[in-house]
Amino acid sequence: MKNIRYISLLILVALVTSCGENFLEKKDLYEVSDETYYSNPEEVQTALAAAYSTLPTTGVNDALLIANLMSDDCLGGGGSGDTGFHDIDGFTNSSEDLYLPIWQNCYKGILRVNMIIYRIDNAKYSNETEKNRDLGEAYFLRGVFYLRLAQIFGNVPLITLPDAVNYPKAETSALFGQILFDFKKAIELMPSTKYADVSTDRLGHATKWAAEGFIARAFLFYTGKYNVSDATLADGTTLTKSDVIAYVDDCVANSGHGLIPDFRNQWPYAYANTTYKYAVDNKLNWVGETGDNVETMFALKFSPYGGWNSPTVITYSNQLTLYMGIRTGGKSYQDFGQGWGGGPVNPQLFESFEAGDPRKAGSITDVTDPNEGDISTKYVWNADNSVHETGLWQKKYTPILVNGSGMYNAILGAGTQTNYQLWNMQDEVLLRFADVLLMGAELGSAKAQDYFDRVRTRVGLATKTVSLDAIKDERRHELAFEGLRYYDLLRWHDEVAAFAKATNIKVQNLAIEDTYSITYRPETNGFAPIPESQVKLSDGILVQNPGW
Amino acid sequence: MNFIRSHLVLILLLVFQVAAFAQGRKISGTVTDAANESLPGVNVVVKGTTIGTITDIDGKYSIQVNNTAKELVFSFIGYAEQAVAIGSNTTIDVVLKEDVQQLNEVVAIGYGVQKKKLNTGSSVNVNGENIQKLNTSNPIDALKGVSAGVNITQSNGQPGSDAKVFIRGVGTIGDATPLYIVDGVSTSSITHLAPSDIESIDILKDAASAAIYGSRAANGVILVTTKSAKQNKRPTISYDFYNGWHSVAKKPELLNAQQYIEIMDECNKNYYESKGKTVREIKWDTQVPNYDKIVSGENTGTDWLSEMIDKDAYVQSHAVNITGGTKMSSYSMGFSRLDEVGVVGKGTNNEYKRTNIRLNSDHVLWENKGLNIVKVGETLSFTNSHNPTVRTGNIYWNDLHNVMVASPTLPMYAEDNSDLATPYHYATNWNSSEANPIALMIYNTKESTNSNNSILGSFYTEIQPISNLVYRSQFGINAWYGNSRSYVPVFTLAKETFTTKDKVSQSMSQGYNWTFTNTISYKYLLGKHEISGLVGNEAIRNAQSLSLSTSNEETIFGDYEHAYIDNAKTISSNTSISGRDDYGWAMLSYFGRLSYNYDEKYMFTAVLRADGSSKFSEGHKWGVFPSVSAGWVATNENFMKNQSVISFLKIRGSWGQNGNQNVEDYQYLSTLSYTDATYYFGTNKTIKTLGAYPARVPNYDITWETSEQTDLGFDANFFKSKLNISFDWYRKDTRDWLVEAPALASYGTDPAAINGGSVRNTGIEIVASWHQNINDFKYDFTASLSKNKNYVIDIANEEKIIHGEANVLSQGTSEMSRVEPNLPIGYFWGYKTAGILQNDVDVANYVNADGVPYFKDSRPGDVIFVDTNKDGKISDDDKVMIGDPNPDVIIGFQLNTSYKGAYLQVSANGMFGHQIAKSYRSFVDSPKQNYTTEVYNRWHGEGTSNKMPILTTTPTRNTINVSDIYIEDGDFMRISNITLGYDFKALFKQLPIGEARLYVSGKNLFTFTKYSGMDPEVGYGSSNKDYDWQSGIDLGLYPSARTYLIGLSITF
Repeated sequence: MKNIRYISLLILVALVTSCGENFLEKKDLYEVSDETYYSNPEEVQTALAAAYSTLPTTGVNDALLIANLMSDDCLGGGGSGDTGFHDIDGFTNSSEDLYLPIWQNCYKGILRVNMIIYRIDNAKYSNETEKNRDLGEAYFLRGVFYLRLAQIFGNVPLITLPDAVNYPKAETSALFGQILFDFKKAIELMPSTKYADVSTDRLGHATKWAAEGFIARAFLFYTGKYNVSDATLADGTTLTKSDVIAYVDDCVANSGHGLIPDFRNQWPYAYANTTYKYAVDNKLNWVGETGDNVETMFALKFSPYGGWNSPTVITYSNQLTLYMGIRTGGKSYQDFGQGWGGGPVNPQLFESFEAGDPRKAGSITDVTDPNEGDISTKYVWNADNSVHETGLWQKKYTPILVNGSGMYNAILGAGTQTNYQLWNMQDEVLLRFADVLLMGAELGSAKAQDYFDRVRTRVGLATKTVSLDAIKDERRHELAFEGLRYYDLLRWHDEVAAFAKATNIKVQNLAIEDTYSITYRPETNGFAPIPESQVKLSDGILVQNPGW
Repeated sequence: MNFIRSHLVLILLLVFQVAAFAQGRKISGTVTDAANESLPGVNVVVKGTTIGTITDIDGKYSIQVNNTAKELVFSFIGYAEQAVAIGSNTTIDVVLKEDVQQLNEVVAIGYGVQKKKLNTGSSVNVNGENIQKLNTSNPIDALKGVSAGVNITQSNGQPGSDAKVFIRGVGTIGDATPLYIVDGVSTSSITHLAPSDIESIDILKDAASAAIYGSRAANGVILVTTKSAKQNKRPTISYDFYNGWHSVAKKPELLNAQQYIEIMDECNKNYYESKGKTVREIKWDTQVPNYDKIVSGENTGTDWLSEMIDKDAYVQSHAVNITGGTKMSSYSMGFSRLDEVGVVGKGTNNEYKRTNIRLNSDHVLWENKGLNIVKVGETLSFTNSHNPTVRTGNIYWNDLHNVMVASPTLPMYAEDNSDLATPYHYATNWNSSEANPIALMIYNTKESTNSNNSILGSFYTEIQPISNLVYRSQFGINAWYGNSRSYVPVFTLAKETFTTKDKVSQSMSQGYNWTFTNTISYKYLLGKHEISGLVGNEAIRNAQSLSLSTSNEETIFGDYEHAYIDNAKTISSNTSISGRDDYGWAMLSYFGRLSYNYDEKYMFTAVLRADGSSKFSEGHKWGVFPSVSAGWVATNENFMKNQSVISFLKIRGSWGQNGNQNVEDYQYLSTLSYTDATYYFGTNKTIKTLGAYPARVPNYDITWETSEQTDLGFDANFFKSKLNISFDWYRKDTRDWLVEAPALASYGTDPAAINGGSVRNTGIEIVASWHQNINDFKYDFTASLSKNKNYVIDIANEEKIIHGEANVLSQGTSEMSRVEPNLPIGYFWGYKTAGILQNDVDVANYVNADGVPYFKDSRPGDVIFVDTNKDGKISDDDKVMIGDPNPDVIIGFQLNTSYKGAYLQVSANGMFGHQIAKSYRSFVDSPKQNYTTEVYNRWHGEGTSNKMPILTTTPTRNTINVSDIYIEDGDFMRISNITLGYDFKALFKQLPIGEARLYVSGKNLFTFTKYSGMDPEVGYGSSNKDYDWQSGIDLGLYPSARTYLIGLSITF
């Protein structure tokens, strides 16, 4: 019996001690610790890719789509149930988190670049130029994200370290001080390699030249909208107008970017030059996206791997094209594929082009124009419950069909998407050389007249004396639907006047002739509401924008 | 593995220990029942000791007793315990009486069993026989209505689908499913078990009962014991067969072509009139084929639902079970096969097929004078199943929904489609993006197969070196493997619905968990004091879990038979490959239980369990979960002896804590993720640059979620146990929810999983049953009622809201389920309405306090939204709780009657006090979707409706705003089963069989409800795991079946 007691005791002891503590350790095999990451150039590359991947925002929150809808050039459009289009266009807010995706994406991108900026010194680069280039891209992207936030929402919390802190909105001067500082850092850090010498597999990456364009865009917006002349940067230095002019002049002179001979060859419809009557008649020849387009300075890239990451969120394909494409309701046109019909074109824009400006038909499809070919005879009004239909559709970002299927399907062949919602992948251009020229002219470069003339002569228009008014007109027509017009209006303080004109526009709502007025609410200062959930989550620290 | 080795040594050591026993004399005898049939397997124990034996096949026993032994106690489940004085007898024959009180029943309490009358916790014990008698295809369905406090709702009616099970209310917005333990091995679901293999199911509801499972027991525990081997028993062979015919219990009435056109015309007319324009009629003749025949009434259009309903849906089950054994070795084995065809999905693989094989055995390796010193045994059950492949999910992934919303004006088959190589009709002009839903289902799901296998097995050794000291060591494995293959051909159905290349997919998965449990239990008797204790430890590890899947395009053969990955021409850029192994999750636990009772009058139990989990970081891994419970059997007191009304009364109470660790791994690590962050630099759009980014805000402090529960109750028998009543009151607070509470988006990454939220469930449960035998007529009736109130106490973030999913009822609608303090989990959030504006006067009066109209464009037929916050406008701030999907009351009834060989069983269950959100069409984005005939309840002129607004082509705020017009009460009472049978043994007593039952049965025959949808039992809430807490959303997904069946049950 004694033995048994001992053994019982032994069992007890064994029960209590037999498992080592490491039994409860589990190794994470699919994620890397951020403590050790960012240790070499390859890892910084992946971190940068993740930051770039937040630039495209899906749904109605694509940055260009928001800007187009808010502007006086586009109406709401889409179907009668597309409240997203109508809310953005009409300065209403029927769902409290309408602008959450872009808010979220910008801050995701900001954290991702903050991590790079914070950690890059741990990375062992053999080549200092490469390190500076990567760091420069990170600064550039942070500038882009904050400029987006500042243009859409006005003042927003400014976070420059990888920390989860609940900050209040930053002062305008601090916000723009940071944006301009970031672009300046990007310019200083990135190499001055001419566009032609940049390896084509780096297409899509930011360059020094893009940063020079963006610093001008940010400076013009800040000084214009807020009526200031200089900016005090985050490091305490001052950025003056002449500094910015110097950047633009440098860009124009040394970047290797330029204008391509035919304005229209930038856009994918030019590719359909065997079927699309307009492209055939004008002998268009699309410049493509593989490096020949010297005019594109910074563009978002897409892929054939579009997919639904939730029932309503699409990733990796160009959603701007889908959302702003012609609403065909499944009807078949020879050249234009199905889109959702967001942002029908304001006829006032269509009418405002100078006679003989090829950018009119080069930017807008008039469904009644026989030169448009197939669509002009077959166009169906009120396809799938269309509203705000004007019969005018922008054609810079619209799905193009070739041989009955999506254009990229025709170009890339096997393996590309057959679903129209996923098959668009044209570059979404955020900065174009023509814009840099016009900004240079507007800033008052010594070469202002030359810059201005280059834009006009390219499209075969006679020269004009450069003036702010002339530049305003030129920007509207050259850069239509490229997400710039609305912020131009804000910085010129022209928005009230412009929207006052954009009233009683003839439209069809579900095939009924009607009128439409584009709404603007001055009490909002032109800014969108901060997503309501963020205001609530901030526990009173984040204050809702005026007018909302 | 060190762990196992160290224990093996101990086991071996024990095997070679010999115990010595005192000498005495031998007593033998026979035990029989009242009908003079011998009773094998009766426990014969010397009172006050654990020296005992059991009777053999002929009911005979012999036992060695020492001279101090005074009484022998005979006990057997279902019979009244009997004590007989030994005196100087050497032969003691006993006749046992059947016990209607059934208080000697034992119930599983976790790592052991206990007499029901001594149990101080709150649990439900369901006998396997009763489960099997209900002929459900899975054991969970059989628990409906028989287990008070357990809320079981089907997710959808598809055979083989899982039900939602909540014990005492929804306790968390994370994983609220109970812990399932099958023969000591944990598993995620028991749907795949065959009801015929189950001996009993014990549902541990209160914290004290569940506490021995400590962690993971926060949502209650469901213990399944498979049919165990029986010592000293002649082989018993049973064969059960049934064949049933399914039909759709309630079919929604969809509009036919004429009605559809009429309604679409009305929408069109209303739209033009609302704009003050002349109506432009829809030119139907150009829009839909065969319009002339529709006008003439010759063609009523396609009845899509009928096209989908499988009229040959049936269910067939065979089950064979064999049990038997000698004193030393016993066994129980079973084989069963179920074939069940779903009521919908005609023409596809809509069949659920399941094969179960089970082998359990016990062997006494070393027996010494009635004491089983070393005993070993195993349980092993294997399941192979094939699930149906019809798509069931949200509105975007559901074949049923597609069928319900398809226009009746789209014909099923094409008259001439030679150029499209499909017999199905192409989309019509009327809705050119509408693909034929039946064709879509067939192309996407018909050519596919899957095979799922699972093995649940355990091996145990039990060593009892001295009487009452039992060491038990069990190693169990839960393993699974499976594969699937599918093929989608080339087809064209609508402009945007086509494939240009055929596609083949194959996938496989496998994995296993193991559980190693060691316990020592000891029972000590001292006079009227009985103390028993148990200590143990348990290690659980998820040792492997891997899955691989791949798909490719353009197969060489172009058919399903040859559709294998190898048979594709090239590796296309759409090929997807994924594979990972999520092994390594581990848990280590130590636990103990101490029970004391004095003369079976006062009972006390304390349990303590400590669990460590790999899910949490150092310093936060361990959770300790204590519980105490006590009971008092008042009827054992002298002052209760002199009355005959109350034959048994036990008052009990318990308090305890349980845990939950169901959260994604590594929440405490600051890591990088690669998901959805790829970018495409360069000229080649197919070259990916992987992106890496900080995955989440880490939370180093994340730890166990805890539920704390207090339970008070009593069990009472009245009138010589004719009436039994059990009552429980409980309060269960679940704290420190493991949730990913929304955080500021400006943090730039996913929010941290936090311990942030708490909910309280309070309720009562009453079970009353009446048993009576009037000569040969026997009946018993049981009714159970449980009432639960659920409300959230706190959400630990600034916003205090957990948001639900958007686009649920229809694409384009905002979130409609929420979790918020002081309201029930998953309550419906939306606008309150106050009827419909009937006329221009109503419109003029629909103004705020300042006389300003709420909407400039209101017109008769519009919904009156209530300005609940009185701020003068209708906005999101006016949204309030418009419904609660959690039932307040759950009711169950069972009636069992028999007269000689004939018997009748009726079961019913019901739920009350909850609401259902319903829409069978995506009303915002798809105005052309078909309606059910409920559309005729619309407003179409003054006084025609005060709930459903005027119809229009375009979605307006009337429909887009989620409001209470979509909410209905879901109260229902359902007769779930009626069985009428006859046992031919009663007629032919000489037959060499134990039982020969032939029966007919009807399932889901009557449902009493005011709910207008197909089925008021709506478990669906979301097909996204993050929104598991949503429920009560009826999208018309998979209709439940009504079944008539005939069955045969023979026991030899």
